[in-house]
Amino acid sequence: MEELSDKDFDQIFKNKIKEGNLEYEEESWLKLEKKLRTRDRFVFFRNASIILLFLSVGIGIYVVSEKKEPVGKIKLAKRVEKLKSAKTNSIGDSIAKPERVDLNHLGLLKTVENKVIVKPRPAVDYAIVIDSAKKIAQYPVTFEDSLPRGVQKQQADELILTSSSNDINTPRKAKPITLSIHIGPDFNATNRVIGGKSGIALGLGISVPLSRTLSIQTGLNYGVKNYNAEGYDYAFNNPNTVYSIASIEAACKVVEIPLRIAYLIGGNHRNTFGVNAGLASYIMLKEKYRFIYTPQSGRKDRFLEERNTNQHYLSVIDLSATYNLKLKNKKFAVGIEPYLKIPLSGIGEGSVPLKSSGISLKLNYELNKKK
Amino acid sequence: MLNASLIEGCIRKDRKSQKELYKLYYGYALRICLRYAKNKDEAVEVVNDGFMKVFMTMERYQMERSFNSWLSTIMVNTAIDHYRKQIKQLEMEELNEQHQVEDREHILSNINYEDLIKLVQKLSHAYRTVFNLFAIDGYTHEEIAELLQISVGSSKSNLFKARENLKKMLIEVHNVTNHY
Repeated sequence: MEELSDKDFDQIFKNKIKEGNLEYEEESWLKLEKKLRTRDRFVFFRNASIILLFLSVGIGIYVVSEKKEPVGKIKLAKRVEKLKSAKTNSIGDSIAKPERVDLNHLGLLKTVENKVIVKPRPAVDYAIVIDSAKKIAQYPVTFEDSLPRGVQKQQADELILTSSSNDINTPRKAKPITLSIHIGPDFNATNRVIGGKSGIALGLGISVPLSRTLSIQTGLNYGVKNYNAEGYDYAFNNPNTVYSIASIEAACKVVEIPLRIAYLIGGNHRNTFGVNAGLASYIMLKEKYRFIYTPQSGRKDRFLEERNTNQHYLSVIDLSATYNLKLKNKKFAVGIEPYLKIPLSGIGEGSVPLKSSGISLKLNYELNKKK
Repeated sequence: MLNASLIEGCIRKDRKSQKELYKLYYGYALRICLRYAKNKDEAVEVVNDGFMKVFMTMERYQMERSFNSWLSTIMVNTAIDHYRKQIKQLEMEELNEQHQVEDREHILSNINYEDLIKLVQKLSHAYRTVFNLFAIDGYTHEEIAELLQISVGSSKSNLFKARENLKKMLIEVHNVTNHY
């Protein structure tokens, strides 16, 4: 009997191996459908995040430009009209004087059921308030007459006092929108909250103020999370596998989208200190695992690689504290931010309780602040 | 039956169309992936990863081309992606000793598809992948070297060892069958 040549062997093999007639299996489709749904969700959240990011920047820029913009002629004209309707005939001509228009344009007065309401205005207008107040003192009758009926002189005096003594001395500054970049070491572990195997994290952020002390922050971070886990940390398809696993080495590339509230505790014109809390979404780009088996099992190491398979939306508690130091150029500040990230659900292919800690070095840029 | 409306449905990401296409080509894709995977579960995983790529890139498919050939390329590439890392890290096994000469054609002709797949799946990742690419899917050693990022020499050596192992296993199967 003759041995087959390699070519013949391959050919027979090729013919034979194509004979199989395999039927459709619904179970396999259900697995794929789950993947498709996950992918759809990923695409939706990715697009939503991008749109939100652009919207935040857009709104920020709009708010900044709006604050800088002087009051328009139309607005001014409307206020002049209002004033004219409230004035008496005897002072009709004097209303048109610039100082009268300024007073109303400042928005200091609002008439609601014959009550005068003091309306706070940005710092930029207060110089004019002083000016107007002085001029009003020169024309007391005119000012009083320009008020709606029922408003007494005393109230008008109170208004002037309130405007000149309180607001002028403590001008309020609008908190700026801040963009930031950061980089720092990132430590990951499954069995402890702080420390672990080191990796790196870097990213971009935006902080939009809600009030003088609160702001909302989001961004896009990229990190390499390296960690060691035990078999018990990892969710295997076959639960018995855990007994033959000595340890697991993992390296994951992750995009993180934080959404958090920042609270400014204190500081001065140069230093600020605050705390931040929120939830982060992890989008696992690439996960690499090395399963090291026990010597008793006699098995070689197994490697697993997953790409774009797992996403965890708003599943990680994100806690941090920030210290910022303003640079000479007041638009810039440098900061440090120690942080902790604790998952609410299992992370990655093996649903491991992956905790992260680290310190970010930040460079902040204030969008709407003059030097 | 594959037609333009089914393809358009898949491009629109219509789930019903996707399922219909999957139903039509599942068997064909699984037959390819079973050769590259070490068991059925892994083969289904590769099939599904391959179909994910199909659905994501459906608009790139040109109707005038054979869909089978396009799908086959995607499935083979997905299988290679799946095991590329493992293949690179696996050490090459030593050459086996010389085996006795047998009438392998006879053995091959009697073995059924399922048993043959089982034999292929018993090969290591590296051997199985190179054997599939060269012997069944018609790739050259140069193409395999590039695909798997190994040398041409490694590709040839892996093919040789894969064949030797298959022949050895065929004889074992034959002997066991004859014994009983």
